[in-house]
Amino acid sequence: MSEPVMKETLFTDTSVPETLPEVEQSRKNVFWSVFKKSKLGMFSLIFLLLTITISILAPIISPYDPINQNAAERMLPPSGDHWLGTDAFGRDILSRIIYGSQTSLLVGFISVLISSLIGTALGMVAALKGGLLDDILMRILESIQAIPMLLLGLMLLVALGSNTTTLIIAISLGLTVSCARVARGPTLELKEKEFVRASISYGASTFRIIVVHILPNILGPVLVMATLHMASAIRVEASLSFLGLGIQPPHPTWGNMIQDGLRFLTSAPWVAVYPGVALMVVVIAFNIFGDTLRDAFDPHIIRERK
Amino acid sequence: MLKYSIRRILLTIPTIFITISVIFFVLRILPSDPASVILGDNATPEAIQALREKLGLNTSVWAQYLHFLQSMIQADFGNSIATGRSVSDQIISLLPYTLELTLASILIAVIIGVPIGIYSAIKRNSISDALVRLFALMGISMPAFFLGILLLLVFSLKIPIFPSMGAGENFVGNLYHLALPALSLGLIEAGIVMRITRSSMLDEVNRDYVRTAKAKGIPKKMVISKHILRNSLIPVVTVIGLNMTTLISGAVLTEAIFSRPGLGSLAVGAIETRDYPTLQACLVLFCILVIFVNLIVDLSYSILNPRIRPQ
Repeated sequence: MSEPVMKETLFTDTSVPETLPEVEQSRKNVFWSVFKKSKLGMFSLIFLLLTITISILAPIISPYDPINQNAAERMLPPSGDHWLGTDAFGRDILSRIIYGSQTSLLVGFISVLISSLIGTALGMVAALKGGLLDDILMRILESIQAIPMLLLGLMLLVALGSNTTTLIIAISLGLTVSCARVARGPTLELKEKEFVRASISYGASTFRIIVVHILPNILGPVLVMATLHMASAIRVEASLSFLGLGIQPPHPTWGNMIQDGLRFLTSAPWVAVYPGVALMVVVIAFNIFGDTLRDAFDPHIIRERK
Repeated sequence: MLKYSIRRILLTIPTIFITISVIFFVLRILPSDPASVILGDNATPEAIQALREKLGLNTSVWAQYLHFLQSMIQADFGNSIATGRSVSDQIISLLPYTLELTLASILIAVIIGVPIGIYSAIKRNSISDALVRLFALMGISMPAFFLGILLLLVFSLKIPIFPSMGAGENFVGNLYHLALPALSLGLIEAGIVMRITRSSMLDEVNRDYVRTAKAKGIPKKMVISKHILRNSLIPVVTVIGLNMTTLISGAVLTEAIFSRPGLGSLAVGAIETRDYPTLQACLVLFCILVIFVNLIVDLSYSILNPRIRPQ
């Protein structure tokens, strides 16, 4: 989150950095040197790697079975035996949170990957080609986007039945559309800039214009968007599970754990609150990570350093 | 400008058309037979056949589709399968609750988000900037339903200041019941608005035209308010438009948590009872709402930035 590289505030002179950076530094090196100077960014990276490791090693790490019920240990508050307490079926909350992370991360990652690739490409091509193609594509995307992601998910899950594939299709469909629009906006603006117009007048192919001129300039907004999307994907998955439509109990997901706990909010708040905290912390980490990526990728910063 | 606006407004017609078609095909065509889905596994073949005829499912897909479009144009949503009441009547009585919730949240988001975002960009890298960014991150990261649950737990169950359910009787009671749901949605939206305001302000700061303005000796306050802010607001407006759907999803969840009447509760209830006509009507209305907001967003684009105006 902190950006030690950019010490200047709004109105200090930014044209000459105090210590001249190695001018020959490639973009990749600049990227990494900015990234590793951000303590919070590194912290979030390590935290996310740790979370991923924990979710992969869930069968080895988690202290109890996430599904087996134990009537003798119902609704226990957090203690030495059960760090985060137990739920109405005597299941250990911590173990269920660990297993729940598998669902959240997997569904989020696959959805964001699919949607970013397809969405950004669609947005750039639509903006550059313009005309009828742009109109038709944007109208279709806009129509899908007009359906709230949660409701699109609800609709598909009602029609096709609740399973992980439907869940991923529903989430990535919504994200693709907003990715396309985020890529299209700046591309439209760039298209009017002299260097792109010059390139078009030389007869450069759309592919070349995208790769050389557009992509490097919109990577920042797209990446920031992808981070927000990881957040949205994990949140929508949790929301659908919360409404009882996502991945079905007894398989633990953070969303259906929160739903379970809602009934005991006054008597046993830990059942609902801890999975919610896990959900929030992981999403915060993704956001901080994305923020740091943004600072490291931002072409304006790179231009200044050269 | 006028030409562009008229073109843009006309383009919403195909958008609405495609959207309602998507809704129709997903709800009617994907499940092999909606009638047996509605009636469940134990229904007699006669009952299924009767319902099929009542819903018009015994005709061909295209005949159904034409019939559907026809009734949409007449704003006739049919009768609820669960209650038998007219869907339009239910929607008209519930729409104001959902509208006030969404509008109040956007208002809270803009009032909190924009000024704090600007402040944070100006005071970049200070302690207050760090705090603002932390708050914005928490806002973005918090799922609306979880913030709702926390607010409910703290301000309604533990410290009983606000009511935990319902929508209130008169104007004051209405606002009183609106407070917690609107806050839980608005604070999250505020985090997003804050973040985008800050980052787009910082994007604009290093541009040439800002340097020129500074070089001309224009006071800092003027540079910020006249030059940077105007250009920074485009992404902010976009994000509010883009987030309209998130907001509506949030409204659905918030209504469920606070047991508020509204279109969201109606839709969730319709899913549970497999009440297709009601579900369909709710989805169509939500979508038209989103399309309308996005139309306003696109039109305000070209007012904010003349460069985007197409030929």
